Amino acid sequence: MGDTLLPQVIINGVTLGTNYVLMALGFTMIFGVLRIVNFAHGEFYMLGAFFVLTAIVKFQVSYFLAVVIAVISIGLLGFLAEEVIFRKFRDKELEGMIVALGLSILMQNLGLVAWGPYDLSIPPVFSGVLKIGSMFYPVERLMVVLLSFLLMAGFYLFLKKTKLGLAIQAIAQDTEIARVQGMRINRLYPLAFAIGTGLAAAAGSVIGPLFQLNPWMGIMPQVKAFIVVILGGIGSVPGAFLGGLILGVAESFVSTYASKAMADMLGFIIVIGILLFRPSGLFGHSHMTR
Amino acid sequence: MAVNQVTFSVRQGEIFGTIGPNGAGKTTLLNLISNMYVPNSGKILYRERNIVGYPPNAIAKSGLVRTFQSTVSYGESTVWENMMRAQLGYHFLGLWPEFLITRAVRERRKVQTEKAEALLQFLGLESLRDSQAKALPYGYQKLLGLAIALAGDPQLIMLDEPAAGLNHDERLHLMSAIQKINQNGVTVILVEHDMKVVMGLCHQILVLNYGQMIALGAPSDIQRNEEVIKAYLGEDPELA
Amino acid sequence: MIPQGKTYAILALSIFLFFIPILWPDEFYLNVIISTYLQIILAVSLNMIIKTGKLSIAHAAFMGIGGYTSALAVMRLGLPYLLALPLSGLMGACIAILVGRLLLKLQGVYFVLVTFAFGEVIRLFFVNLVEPFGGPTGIINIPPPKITVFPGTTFTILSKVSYYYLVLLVMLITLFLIQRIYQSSIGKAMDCTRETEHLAEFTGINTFQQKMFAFAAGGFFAGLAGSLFAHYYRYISPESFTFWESVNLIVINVVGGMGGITGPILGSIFLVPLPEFLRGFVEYQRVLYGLILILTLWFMPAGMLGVLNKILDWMKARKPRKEAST
Repeated sequence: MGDTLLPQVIINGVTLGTNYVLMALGFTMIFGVLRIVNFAHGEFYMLGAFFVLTAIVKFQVSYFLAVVIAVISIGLLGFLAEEVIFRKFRDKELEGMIVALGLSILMQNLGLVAWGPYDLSIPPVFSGVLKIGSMFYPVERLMVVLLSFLLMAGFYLFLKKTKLGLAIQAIAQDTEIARVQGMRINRLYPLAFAIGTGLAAAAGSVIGPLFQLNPWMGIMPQVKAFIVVILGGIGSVPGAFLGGLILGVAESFVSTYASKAMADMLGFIIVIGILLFRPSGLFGHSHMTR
Repeated sequence: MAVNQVTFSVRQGEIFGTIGPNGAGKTTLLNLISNMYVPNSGKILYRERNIVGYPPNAIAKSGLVRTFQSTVSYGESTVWENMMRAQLGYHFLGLWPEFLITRAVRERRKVQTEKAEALLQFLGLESLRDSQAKALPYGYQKLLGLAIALAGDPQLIMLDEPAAGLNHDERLHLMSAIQKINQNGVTVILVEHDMKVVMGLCHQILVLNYGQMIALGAPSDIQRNEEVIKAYLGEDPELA
Repeated sequence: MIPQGKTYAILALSIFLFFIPILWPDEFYLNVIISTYLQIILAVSLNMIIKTGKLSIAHAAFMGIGGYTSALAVMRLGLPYLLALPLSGLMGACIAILVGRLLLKLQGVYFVLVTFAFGEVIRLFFVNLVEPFGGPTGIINIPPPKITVFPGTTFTILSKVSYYYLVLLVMLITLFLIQRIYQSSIGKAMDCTRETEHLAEFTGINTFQQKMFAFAAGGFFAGLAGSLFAHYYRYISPESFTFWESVNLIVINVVGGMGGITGPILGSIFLVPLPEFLRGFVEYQRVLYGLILILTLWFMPAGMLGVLNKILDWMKARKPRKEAST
């Protein structure tokens, strides 16, 4: 009993972790580059899932095409959101954060108006169960992990290999220097926001088939993203990756051997601990205190 | 290392200046001795007490006040309000008495009003008392910063690049204000980039470069010091 | 000090408030007003914390702490309500002092985030412990307050009308105390701390003490509100003080305006009854809520109070100057 349980716990943890990493990547990008605590991040995730649902059910589009449509359109939405709404609060971090909060409430309830409060589901894309040794692993889940890794790899390549990606990294490092070097903040900020929300939408689209959809489905992933980002370090991609996996596995362990409620508490205690004692997280730079 | 092995003494009643090229560590030095940063090693002796680690408000209350280059005053408030606010910390009698608004608290108001008036007169700001601080011409903002620093009757003030951004007339006005303050018995430590200000005012000068001390002495000695000339080559042709 | 005219106006208003249950004994309206009063206590005490430059999203958690303290004090320890009420406040203040030491060191957005995490930890703490807090279901059947003024005369605050007076009294005391703080040098020092912290610190203001005081006092009043809440609704659970309740308090401050106690009062009066009167359109009501928040930050960053002040200034400018002796 003890032998087979441990690997299962780890695998569950890694699966959970990859969910978290995807959300965290977008969130850390927005926080690291634009200094906005995007409280509406979970809502872009939610929209991703719902767009996929609508595309499949209403427009009979295939799943993969639906995902692409969802990611692009929500990326566009994010671009507009920064251009139109957040631009005004660029130098006012706290106000920007509260605006994001307002946006979050707005989006949740628009979602409620549009799709109702009851759980909906995306028709499953893959079926079957994989048997590895004495463990069972649904193929659907495996595909989600695979897709997530693909997205992460794609994002990583984007950051390191494209001009845009490098520019965004530069701004995250030091906005003043980037500005002096002539990078157009006005173009880059909305783009960075768009990519961040696109990633959230991608997470929602990819993970959507596994869970029930409702307007509040973004709240928990958002919270996890926030925990992972603090843990991994704000603006740090490897931090988001490592932090996500660590949180996923740690929660899996605590969930199995203690209780789910304890697992939830774990994340917040980690956040408090990090903010107080190692504010830069695992990999980030510290701009926490004066 | 931002500031390395710097040792000096400031004599009571003098004007002490610190100069050096950009990035030499002057502001860092000031931040260290005003306890904004904590040094890795070393002591700061103020009236024979090592003040490293003391909270800034305690240091201010013991007579050591500094100014800031960037945030000179409470921008949104008027000049008069700034003067009243500047005195708050020094006269604060403690949470409980302040909450009860005891008689001592009420009587103090007269003293504070008089002091505010006196300081404004001293620095020539009395006609501007109802102007909003951030709307003042830059030269007057700096003078307001000086007035705020003097609100607690300090024995030693530390000025962070007070002449930065000032035009010729404003600079002269500032320099005479600093001299007046010094003549009233206040010791001054000055961090400056502008050579003219430092040469014109200071009794003793410390020159920094790359965080190291490269010279310490009277203005005439500094002027002739080869190391200093080398460090400033191309920075200020008037030095040679 | 408040000029004479204003003092009388406020006194008159307060006296008027005592007559409301007599003029409008409608249970529904009284319920709305009581909820509003509770929010006012919470919103104004949060305003004090914000006044030192700290935006706390943990305020509802302190309300929860007060509520559980009060319920347990009465139900388990058998304490009279007149003791349980201040005890709730003290518990809120004590916890605030304990955690404030660490939390208040963080700046800006990071302080907000750590209070968010802290609020959740508190909530989950209560969710996890079935004994004595009742876990996810909380504590039910909390008895109504029994107040013994003289031995032999015990009032049981059961009806909405009697509860109205209890809450009104606590609210007025809260407002009086906080206004007093704002008018004293403490209030001015708080403003300095918020606006330009290092200038305040370097002119002798102990900014940490200011922040701690605001945080502890805020925790105290939130605790009081929690006690009133618990004995009014006769139950308390972790659902009563989630992140959203804390956010609501911030929204009240933002929409009402954060200058002084008038702002959160206006904000509460506007936002608390709103959902009650939009009962038929629940989803739209929350859409409106989010919209109001965004639009306020966009167009009226000083909130309703800012708008009110502008109107008053405009009115003063239009009136011809009278030769009056002040």
